[in-house]
Amino acid sequence: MSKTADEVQRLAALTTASAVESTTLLGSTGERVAKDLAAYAMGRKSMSAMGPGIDRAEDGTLRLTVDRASFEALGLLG
Amino acid sequence: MPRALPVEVLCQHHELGDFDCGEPIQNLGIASRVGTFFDPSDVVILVAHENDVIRGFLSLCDLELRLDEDSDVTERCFFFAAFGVDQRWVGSGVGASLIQRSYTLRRLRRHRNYAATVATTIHNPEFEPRLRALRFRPVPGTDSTFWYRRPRS
Repeated sequence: MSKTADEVQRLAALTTASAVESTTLLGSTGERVAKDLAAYAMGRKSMSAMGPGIDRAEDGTLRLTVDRASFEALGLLG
Repeated sequence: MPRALPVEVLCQHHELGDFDCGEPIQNLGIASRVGTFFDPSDVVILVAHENDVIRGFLSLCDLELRLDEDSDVTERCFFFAAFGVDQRWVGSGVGASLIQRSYTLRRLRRHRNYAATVATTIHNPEFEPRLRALRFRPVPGTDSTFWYRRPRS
């Protein structure tokens, strides 16, 4: 594999890893997430520019991966 | 009693006019969308308009919430991402018309089995009293950045 191809593959792997990292809706991080989602919904930010925790589900839906505390805060557990 | 404005999905024929909701970032957002074909297609922007001139908007989309990166636990939510009403039209029912139309859209999508409706007020401070009136609750620990309402809650 050429050095360039190897670098592309490495960067792709990093991008994928960061896209599925979970985040939290709580505190200041939640504010960042809210800003990202609002910017995306108004077309001011592309999916590739989103911070950790935001990507697309298999069916293309905007997906937010969150920690257990956030899931519980939304009343989605139990 | 002011007349209710028509609400439609944002299209190329809608005009920005002198729209000003008092939030520069929201003004910039809607201004960037007017006159364009909107992409991504998973987002719907509803606009209340007077002879095609925008007086208010509501941007919404589906949001899948996943519990942790390795989990199969997911819930689909109906998400209010951005909201703005021209300051001169606040109190004239524009916001209520937008929300009412969004609920119609939600009903049409009921097969998607939404677990909750979630909203953010990050750039929409005037959205908060409306959400309260609709029995939304602030998500604990989010400093009222996120609000939610469960079905039939």
